[in-house]
Amino acid sequence: MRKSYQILLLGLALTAAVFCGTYLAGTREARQFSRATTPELAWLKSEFQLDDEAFARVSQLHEAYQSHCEEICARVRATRSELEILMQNSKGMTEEIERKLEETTAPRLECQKMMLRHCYETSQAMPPEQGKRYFEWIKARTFQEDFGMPAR
Amino acid sequence: MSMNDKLDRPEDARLKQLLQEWKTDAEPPASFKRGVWRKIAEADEAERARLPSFWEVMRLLCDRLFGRLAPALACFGLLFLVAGWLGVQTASGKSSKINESMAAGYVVSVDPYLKAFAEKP
Repeated sequence: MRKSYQILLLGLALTAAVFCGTYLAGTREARQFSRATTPELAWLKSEFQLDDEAFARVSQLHEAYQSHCEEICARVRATRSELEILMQNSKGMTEEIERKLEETTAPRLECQKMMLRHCYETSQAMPPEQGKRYFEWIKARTFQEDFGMPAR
Repeated sequence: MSMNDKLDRPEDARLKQLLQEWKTDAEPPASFKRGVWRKIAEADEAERARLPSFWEVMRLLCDRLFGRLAPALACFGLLFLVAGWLGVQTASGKSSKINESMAAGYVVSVDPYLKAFAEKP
């Protein structure tokens, strides 16, 4: 093979290596999240630059919160599916549907109270600056006035 | 095998002798030399007019760029810069997507309402 071709091939291989190297280095942290036991908490630690102590407190709170969260989640699902069945079997608005609709608002209120309490606790478990930033962030993501609906 | 080798064979010895002895008094026509040079010029012109193929261009480019150290180093220096920049940009896009997905995952994990709709039984 001609010398110029050998140099070209070597250069192209090195170019590919440079691309792969910078790509892998640039995504190293993000790829580590996926390998963590709780990826979302690993992300939270990195995003809010939590030290091990603060992260342990936040993880503990998160774990304790999950059982309550699952409980409410199950209630929301149950009331939603009951409402859906009622709507499917009815041709118009009935008292039963109205009652069920009212029932679906109860878990929503309870959910928001519980979530807000958890968010305050989590923000207090963080260093003050990070806690403030966390609370602003989670408030924007979960307590939006438009409930996440896109603006018209 | 060259022409001389062929004429060295015994059966061609007579032919070789004849060729060595052969002389001609005939002069080529006056326009002979001009005609030869015209044909050469036409052939050169035709060669120049013909568009080089892709592979010919590539081969020439490859020889010019990578046949010597300095142009090769300059060329690869530039390529490495572009590859590095592309790697950083691609990684940044990918990291943003992963970060966004992790952030969404965290929000779902603390919001039972979102969880109820995200994980439909």
